[in-house]
Amino acid sequence: MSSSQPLVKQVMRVKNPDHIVEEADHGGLKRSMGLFALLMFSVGSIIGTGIFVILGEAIPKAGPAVILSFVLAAIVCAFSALSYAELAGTIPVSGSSYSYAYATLGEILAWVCGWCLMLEYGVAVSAVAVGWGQYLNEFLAAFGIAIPPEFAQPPGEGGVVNIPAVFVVVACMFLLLRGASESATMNNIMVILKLGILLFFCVVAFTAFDGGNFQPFLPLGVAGIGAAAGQVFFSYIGFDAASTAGEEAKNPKRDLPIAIIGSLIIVTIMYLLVTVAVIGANGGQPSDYEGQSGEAILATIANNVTGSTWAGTLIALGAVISIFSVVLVTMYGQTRILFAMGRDGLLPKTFTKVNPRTQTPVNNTIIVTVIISILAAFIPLGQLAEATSIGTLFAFMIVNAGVISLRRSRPNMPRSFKTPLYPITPILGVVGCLYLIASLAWITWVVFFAWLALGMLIYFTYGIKRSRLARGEADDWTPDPEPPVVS
Amino acid sequence: MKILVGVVPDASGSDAMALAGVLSRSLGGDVLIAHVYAAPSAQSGKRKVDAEWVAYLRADAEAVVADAAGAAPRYGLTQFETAVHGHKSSGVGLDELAQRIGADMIVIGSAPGASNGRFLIGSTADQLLHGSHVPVAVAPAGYRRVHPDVLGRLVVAFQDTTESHKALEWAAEHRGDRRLTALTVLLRHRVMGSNLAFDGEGLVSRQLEEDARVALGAALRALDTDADSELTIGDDASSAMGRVQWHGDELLVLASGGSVLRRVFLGDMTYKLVRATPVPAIVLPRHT
Repeated sequence: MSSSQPLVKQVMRVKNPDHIVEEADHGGLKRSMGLFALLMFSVGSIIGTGIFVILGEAIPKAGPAVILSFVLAAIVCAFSALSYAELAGTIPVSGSSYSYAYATLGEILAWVCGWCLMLEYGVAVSAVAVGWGQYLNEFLAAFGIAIPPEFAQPPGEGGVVNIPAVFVVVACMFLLLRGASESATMNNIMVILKLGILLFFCVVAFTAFDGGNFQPFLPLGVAGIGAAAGQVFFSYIGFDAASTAGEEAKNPKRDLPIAIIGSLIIVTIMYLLVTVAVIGANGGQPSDYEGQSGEAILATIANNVTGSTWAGTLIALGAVISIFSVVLVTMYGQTRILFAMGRDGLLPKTFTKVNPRTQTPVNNTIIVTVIISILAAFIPLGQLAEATSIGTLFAFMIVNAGVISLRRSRPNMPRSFKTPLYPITPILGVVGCLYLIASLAWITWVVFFAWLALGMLIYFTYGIKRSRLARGEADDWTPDPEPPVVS
Repeated sequence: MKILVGVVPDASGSDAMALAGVLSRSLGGDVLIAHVYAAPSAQSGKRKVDAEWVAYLRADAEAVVADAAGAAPRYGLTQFETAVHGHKSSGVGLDELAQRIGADMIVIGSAPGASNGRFLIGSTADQLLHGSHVPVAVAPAGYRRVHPDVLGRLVVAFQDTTESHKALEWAAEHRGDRRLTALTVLLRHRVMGSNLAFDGEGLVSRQLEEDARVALGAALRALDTDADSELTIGDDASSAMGRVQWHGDELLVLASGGSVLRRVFLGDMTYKLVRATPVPAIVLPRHT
């Protein structure tokens, strides 16, 4: 009986990678994704969460130097992205950081990773839903319809409950319960729509460009760059998507790293363009953003620049459509990560109950919807974004550590991609994540540690005893020491 | 067992007769070859003209049935009865006739335009699949050329629903000494842009498979019969069905699901499977 094992051994047990491969039976996936498809997949996964909503929150933190915050966040992402690519090429299954951690670092860190992913998905989707509500408001305003602020803002920002945010979450729930599929074509359309709106915004905003807005460049000092970077990091979430498409890529060894890094470059350029346009048109000082509705900032600025509502309405419409798809995708991710943890016995079985008719996990989806709706209805966007960032940064740190751990425990395991300049890149990944975590507001830390403490409580009272590894239903696996390479 | 086969004067009529022949040899039963002609409704005016017109249609229908009867021996049908029946809609007419003669099933061919090995749901099939009182067997296009002498295997599309259990019951009752397979068809829900890709979905499929296996085991024990189980997965019904190893001597048994207001009402999955099956399928009404 594994409960008689020492505690350290219990919490550090790892899942056999072969078992993971067997678990994720995908029924003969076709290798159909070329470099372009992977690139679109990755770009589509990144753009749409943050950039539409985050600038109104981030610029007041750093001033025009928020440009450097985007670059800094992109660099931290790049290190972690390389680690993702290596793990994706080592453990031969499309996986999330949760399953990678389970195979490399042990159950407790896998649980922490999954617990952080819950924060990432759950809170990110609430934040995005809040942003969606603001853009909907902006769009409806063009037709003279205004949702009363009591029902369009959370408490503390002049409202009682954020109804549009709840609406979009519930609408996505129905799609997910039915068995929503978003095809590659739909994904491409969404990517083009999002890029199109952002480019359109840039064109409009550049007509009112004022170079003077970039002075002073660092009104809040260097610390501001880090503080804003922690927040804008939120807008890069999703860059790891391409690493999960390993089984579908035609030439994963060559294309996956190019897609991951390439999409980061494309997205960073796009974000920098938008940020420069926003600062050029609306100013770069914290005082320029006082009293503005931050979430639908792109639409607001476009309206100010053109002096009419058509440009803002167009942007708002595009944002309403594309953010909807982001909410859908993120909620989907949340339900499936809970599903994976339920399958491993770390969460109750109700999370793995599947309706045989719709072939979707119904209870799981409803629970996720209820929690996300509550967050979206009552919590302001800025706080949600920071909480998302800290959870994600923590999960990325674990992935970087996973690369180091697996290189040590299984140095000869075949790897289709190896991160360059090892061990510098994963170490820099960990350091970068730590730096961004350190720059976040103290309240975010409090929320995060409370979340982690809750997670630990649940793990030590439930998961540690109920996990499939503990019950011997899955193979506990100790990496074999490999023979030295004879060259 | 009484098998009513609805024929039309084209290749799909021959496909239907071929299937009726296979079913009668396999399950036992008498065959009635029938054609439903488009009789105007009784409310129409100008009765005299209608009477002549109806007489013409009836004569035409009898010619269709006579032709079919002439071709029937090609499909191994030597003993059968024939009938014509007038109704403004062919599907409802066939159901009416089936009830009148106490048929146990209706056999039809595909609507025109289906590629070989596929069944296209036309208006007749649509009416029958929404309102028939008895099971409806559908022959894919081209079946007349590839049909076996008798059925070798019954394949039940199985998921853990009440209707599926009824379909399994029907198949167990009619299998004779044939192989019985419970086929679980899973459709992959692909949400592009999720950074979980197929990891999450693979687990959902695995869970469904396990659930279906447990439910199937319990059902087979209750029916005191044995069956093998198979799982197929695809992005759509057609790709999932394409992965199954078909030998051409199968009959796919489908349950209807969905609305309680209808007798045979195709649930989402059943509808997809009828259109994707490369072998004949029989769709059972809810009350079977």
